[in-house]
Amino acid sequence: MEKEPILVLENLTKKIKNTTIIENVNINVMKGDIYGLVGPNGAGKTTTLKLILNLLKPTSGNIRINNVSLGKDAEKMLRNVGAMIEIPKFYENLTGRRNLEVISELYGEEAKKRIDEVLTITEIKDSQYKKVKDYSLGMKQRLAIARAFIHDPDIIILDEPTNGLDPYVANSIRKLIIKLANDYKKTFIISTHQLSEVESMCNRVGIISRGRLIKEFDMDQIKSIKPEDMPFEDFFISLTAKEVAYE
Amino acid sequence: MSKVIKSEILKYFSGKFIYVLCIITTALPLLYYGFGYIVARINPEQAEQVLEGVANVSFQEYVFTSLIRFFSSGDIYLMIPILIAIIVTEDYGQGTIKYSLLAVSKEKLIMGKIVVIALVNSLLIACYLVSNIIIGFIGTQGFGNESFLMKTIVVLGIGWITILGYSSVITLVAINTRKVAYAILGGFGVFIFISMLKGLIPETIRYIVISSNIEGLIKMDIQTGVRALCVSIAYSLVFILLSRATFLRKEIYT
Repeated sequence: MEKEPILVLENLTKKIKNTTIIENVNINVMKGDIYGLVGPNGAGKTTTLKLILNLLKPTSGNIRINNVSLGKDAEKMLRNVGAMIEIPKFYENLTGRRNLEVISELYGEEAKKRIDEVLTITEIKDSQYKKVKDYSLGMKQRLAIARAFIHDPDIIILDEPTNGLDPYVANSIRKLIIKLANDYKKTFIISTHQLSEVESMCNRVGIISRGRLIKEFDMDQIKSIKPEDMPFEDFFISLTAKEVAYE
Repeated sequence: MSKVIKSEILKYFSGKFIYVLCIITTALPLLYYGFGYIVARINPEQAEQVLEGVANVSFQEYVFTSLIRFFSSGDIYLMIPILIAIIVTEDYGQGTIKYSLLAVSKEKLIMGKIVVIALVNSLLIACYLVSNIIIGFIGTQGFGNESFLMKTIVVLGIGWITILGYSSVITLVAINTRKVAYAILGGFGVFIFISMLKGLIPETIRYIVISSNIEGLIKMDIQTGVRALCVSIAYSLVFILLSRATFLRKEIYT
């Protein structure tokens, strides 16, 4: 059965003053995908995610969530999206639980009822009464995922979710994302510049460079043509190196 | 919008910040009075000077006149920029605001924040009132025969709207600032500018400066009262609408 698109970006362009940050980006994310948006630093990944989240206004182009344009109904559409953008930011003097209470108050009763469940799923229940300023970065990432998941959205957007984490914690965060995708049928859009992350989590991947989407792959497709003795990272780079521009 | 208000109250009343502002607002008049009392005990010839406004008036008159002082140029004008920098600028500057904006519209969020600022203003006014009631009981010469109750209620009402108008001006400054320190400095700058303006512009048009009409309320003539009320409402409406429009256009880069 063919999957339906849950998020569609059509000719998305963002200019700030006279600089083009994103140019004619077209992406289709299907229900249940873990879509990796890969690119070097400064490629436009975070800007693309902020455009999807209506934090920035596109200069031109269109964004559709569940086949509805993100126009005047943005507030309603975005209630179906959870996100963690850049370094996870919280009200540091409040406890982890209180941070979730503050945000769930905005989403309503259902979200408030889910706090305990979400704390358990993200494995931070034991630290829920600690102030966030005393959390490690790994715990903050988990709390950020809990916040993105609190209102049970269909789409979860994570911007470099393992950035700055040691390999053990990064691995546990990846496992958590896969668990949420498989057990709770969530669609993920994950921006990253770590190819190991793409290999271990994503089923589809878009390569972004200098604000342009230069290639899109199915991971099954890549794995089927990759020589067995060649590491994934080397093969992936050989496929995309010509188009990816580094500053 | 009630969800935004509840969320903002939960956020700011869970920390110490609002309580510290309340304690300062309550403690400062008590400290001023305590200091004046000590000076008066050490140098009885200075007693009249340092305890002026307390010793020679009735309790009711003291509470009334101290409220007029508070609303015309009290410490609250310096506390509001700090309050608004935390409620508006910090949320934007540190990037936490974007998670609220996934759940509610920009319009609901900014209007919710303005309501919470108005609620905290009310709390600070109440703290000041309590503090001055305490001083009045300790330091004044009896309750007084003339009733100041209506006058006090009128000053409280007009003063509250004046503080809302001033808060709206500061909110506009805070929305256009990314760092808390700059927002506070900007707010202090507005306060200094308003204070200078009161002294610089001709008396005939001075009433257009917010808070300049409050001192005139001591006479309790209707014209001054209506003028003070209209100017404060005008400031509140204009700057709330400007703050709303600025925030709606704002892109969230943090």
